[in-house]
Amino acid sequence: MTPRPAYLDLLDPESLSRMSKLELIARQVVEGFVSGRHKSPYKGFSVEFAEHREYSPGDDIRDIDWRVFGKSDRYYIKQYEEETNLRAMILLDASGSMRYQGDRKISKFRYGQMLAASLANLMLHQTDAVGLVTFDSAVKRFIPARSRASHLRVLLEELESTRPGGETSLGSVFDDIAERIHRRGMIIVISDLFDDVQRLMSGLHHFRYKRHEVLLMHVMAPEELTFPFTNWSQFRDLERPASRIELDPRALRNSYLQSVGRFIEQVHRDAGRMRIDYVQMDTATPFDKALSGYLSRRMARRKK
Amino acid sequence: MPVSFLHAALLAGLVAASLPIIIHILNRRKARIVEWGAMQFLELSLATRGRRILLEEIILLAVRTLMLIVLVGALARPLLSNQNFAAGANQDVVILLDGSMSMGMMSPGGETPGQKAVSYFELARDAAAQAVNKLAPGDAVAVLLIGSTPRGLTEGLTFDHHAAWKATTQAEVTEGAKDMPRTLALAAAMLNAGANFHKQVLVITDGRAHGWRAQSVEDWQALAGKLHDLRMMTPRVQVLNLAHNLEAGRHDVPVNLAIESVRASRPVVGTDLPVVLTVDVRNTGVAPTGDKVPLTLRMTPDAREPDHTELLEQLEPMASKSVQFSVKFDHPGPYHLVFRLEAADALAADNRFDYTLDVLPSLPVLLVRPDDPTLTRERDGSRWLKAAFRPSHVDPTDQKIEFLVAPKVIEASQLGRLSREDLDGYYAVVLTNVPKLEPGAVARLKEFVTNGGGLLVAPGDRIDVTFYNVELFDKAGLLPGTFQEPVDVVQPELAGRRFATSQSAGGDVSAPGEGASGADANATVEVLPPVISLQPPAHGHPAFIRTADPALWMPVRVFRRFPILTAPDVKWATVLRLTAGATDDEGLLYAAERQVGRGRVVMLAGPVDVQWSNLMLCDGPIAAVNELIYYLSAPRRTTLSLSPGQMLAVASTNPKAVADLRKPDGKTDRVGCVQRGDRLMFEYGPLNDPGVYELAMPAGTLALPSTGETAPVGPAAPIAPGQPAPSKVAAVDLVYFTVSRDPGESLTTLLNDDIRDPDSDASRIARWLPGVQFHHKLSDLVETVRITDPGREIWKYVAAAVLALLLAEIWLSGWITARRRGRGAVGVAFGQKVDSVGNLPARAPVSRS
Repeated sequence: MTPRPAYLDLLDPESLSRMSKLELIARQVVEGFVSGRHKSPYKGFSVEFAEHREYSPGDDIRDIDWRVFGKSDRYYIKQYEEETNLRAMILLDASGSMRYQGDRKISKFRYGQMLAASLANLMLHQTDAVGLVTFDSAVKRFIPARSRASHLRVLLEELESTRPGGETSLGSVFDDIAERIHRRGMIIVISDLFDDVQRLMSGLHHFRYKRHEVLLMHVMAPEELTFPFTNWSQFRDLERPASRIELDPRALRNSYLQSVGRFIEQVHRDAGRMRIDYVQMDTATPFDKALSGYLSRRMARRKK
Repeated sequence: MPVSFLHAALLAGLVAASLPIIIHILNRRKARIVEWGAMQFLELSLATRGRRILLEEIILLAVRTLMLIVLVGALARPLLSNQNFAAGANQDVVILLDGSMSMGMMSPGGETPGQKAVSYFELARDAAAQAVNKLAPGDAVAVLLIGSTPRGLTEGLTFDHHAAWKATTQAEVTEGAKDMPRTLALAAAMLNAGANFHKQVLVITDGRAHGWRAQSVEDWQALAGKLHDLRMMTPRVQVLNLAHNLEAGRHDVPVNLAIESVRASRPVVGTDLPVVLTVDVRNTGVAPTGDKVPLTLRMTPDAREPDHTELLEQLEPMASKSVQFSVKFDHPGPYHLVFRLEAADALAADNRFDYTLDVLPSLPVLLVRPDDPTLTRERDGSRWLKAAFRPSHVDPTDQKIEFLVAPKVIEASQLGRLSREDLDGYYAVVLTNVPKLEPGAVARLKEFVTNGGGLLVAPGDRIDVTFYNVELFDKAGLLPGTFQEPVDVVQPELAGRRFATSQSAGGDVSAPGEGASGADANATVEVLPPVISLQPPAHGHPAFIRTADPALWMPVRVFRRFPILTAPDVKWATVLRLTAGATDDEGLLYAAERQVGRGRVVMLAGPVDVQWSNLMLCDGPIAAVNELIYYLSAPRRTTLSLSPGQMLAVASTNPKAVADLRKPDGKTDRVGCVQRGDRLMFEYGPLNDPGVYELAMPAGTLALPSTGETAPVGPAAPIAPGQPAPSKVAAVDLVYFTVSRDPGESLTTLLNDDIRDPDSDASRIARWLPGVQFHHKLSDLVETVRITDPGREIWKYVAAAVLALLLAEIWLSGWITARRRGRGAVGVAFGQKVDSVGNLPARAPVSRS
């Protein structure tokens, strides 16, 4: 039997959960992922001039076209058409339900954090532009996509500082985000998708309408998929603390699993219908699958 | 359909029914808290499945709780009462109406002005009638009148309440005594024959302690044993104690005089000598009696004026006194005497005492002498005896002189030729100096004695000692002992015998000569005066009550005797003893008695002539010989005094004869002859009610001993005193029988029926009769007569229900568990079923640009 490669540890969420710094985690993941693929994902890119526009305070002075200044004595900014491969926005669900951890070391949200960080790291290394949106029932934070390497730090800090809480309202949040992203790109949704399927699909459809590509990363905890509880239990809603249900879990297990199964099935079906890539990940799933999902999408895009 | 329980205390176990609920609550309290994100699915499931789950939970909880409830119910043995169940709704009731004599006492309730005085029996009868009326249709009832022998007023258990009521109201008090354990056993046997499930006994009594036998563990144990043998549940027993149904302190009987018994001084009464009748009277009340209460004797029951009257002195409470009447009967025949206390006291019935006796015209006795014509007069005991029975110096023409004993003398060889019927004509047989008997004669004598005849054996110089010892003692078992070789009673030798003053020489049968050497030389001794005499034993003998005066025996001298050796395994009694004058000395055995069958045998140590003693020359022994013959003759007489429950049995000569029996209540029954072995008997009974029974049969039917030398004559019809005896009164033979009364019925001691007192009579009874209840008010009894039907036992059905519930619980919980496990039990497919991430690169492979 072939010994398990050491790099796989770098992709295992359980192993990574021991690390506290997202930055380190992101680096580990990407390096582990890359070494696993045995090829370099890094590519050069060229910058083609697009147009000039007048300088406005706040613009990077490095972008001032001194030759135009010499001719016209005015400050113009050179605007380039970035030949980035991709503009991607990571939408991380920071609602209360993502806090669910169960008996495991990491919660769904932490898993999402690590996943988002790893993706951002990978994308920035490929000179793709990456943005981040955290949301619960509304957008909490919106960071536009940038391709600069330093942007990674901005994203990681944002990720670190985000605390999950509040209710989920995916449909309206997605509508809101879709309106705010003007340029076509890739939308990566990391969420447990605990919302009404119709509203969820309505929001996703909005992205598609704007010609975004959508990668739907559905994160669930294993307990939510197996419902292993046996004792009489009181279930407290992570999003609405006042909502509590006492029941014998064995009595409802079958019905619960059926509900969850139907929900997943419906999301899967509707996502397929909208040509949305749908990736199911429980919190024990290694990150390479997520990164592979992203890369495959990116490659497909480049082929077009 | 009310349900009651035999072991209602076990229903406390119903708290166990709360166990499933408590477990359920405890489980809830231990609820594990789960912070949960996917609440929308739980809520969705709850919305669709919640009601069903709740229903399942409730059903399961209900089944478990119900199972425990029903289990506890089964253990408590439920009784289902339903009018539709005939066996469950009705009862068998035996009403025991106390008809014993004490019930004739007047209740103090009658003392109230304007209120009629009623007896306890009348109160009890009314109570019983009310109880009968209170019974529900379908209840079976029997009414027993408690007496010496309980008598059914109904034909067993009956559903005809009206008939039972009528019979109850017509019941009359008896003179019998009650025996509650025996009566209750009888009631239980009657109840056992009933078809109804519930059994009840109602006892209505005056609450006199006598007859309850509360102290007698054996009697109540026997009742409990009978109940056990009947395999029946102990019936419900309720007692109405009427004596307590009165104001406190009023149930004490101030004065009650009772004639307890009457005794005759001689067992055989003739017209020759007066007989002394001793009447025992007791005051059973709580106050002393008045002075000089007349006690009268009427020689016939219907006589208006008493024939004798004695005055009874004042009697303290519970004190008794004997009053003697000396009566000489002028005419033979059966007599019915009535003793009556002329006193107005609480209970009239015990103021009267009926006494019957048969005055015999003669007492035929057979004297057997040796077959020796040369026997001298001095040596012929039969002659001496005949003279003792009928002294020749009295002028035989004097009509005023009467002799009861009618002797007939035969020779020994004739005895063997007598038929059984011939021998039956005599009351007693005396063997005087008979050497030996023919084998047939021995067998005939044995049969005679066994049937009640008397046998007196007087030895003499002619007797064959070996024959007596072997044939009469060893083989026939007639004699109380064996004769030894005769010895002289040498007066100086006996006088010199040393008797230790502290020594009891009881049963000393050694020869006189042995006495001197047998005494301890070092013991304190007393030399007795040289007077050798016969004496009845120190403790007396019934035959010598009237001749016990030592002075009568002092002149007697005995010179020679046969020592009598009694066998240790033979029960015998000393009749006469040979003493050296000291009255505290048992002396030497001179006459011994043995009971053989119904009859008695007395053997003497010497002859009844003048050879070896001057016995037949002294007045005392001559009178004593007459008394001894009376004593030996007594068992031959028909038993005239019976105990309650005994059979009346009279020998008859005619198999077709029919007798009339007149009973104490005035009713008459016909009595026929039955063959009993080789004898014909009039049989009737058992006789239960105390009182006098009169058996009248055709003349000559009664088989009684003949009068010996005179023509055989049966007892004559009753003859009124002072009237000449009719030569041929009527063509009937009459025999009176008396069934004795229980004097305890006159006692007024009350039963302590306080069940709370552990030492009370009621508590003792309750040990053997659990659940017995004592009521003091008629209303209490009447209210509880109709049972609040405890119902039919249904624990088996309930136990089956427990089993069914258990199976239901197992099935239900299994079914619910199976449903909950169901399909999809592993979990939801996730990450594999949908587009696998691993597949994505395949669909869009990474380009190697």
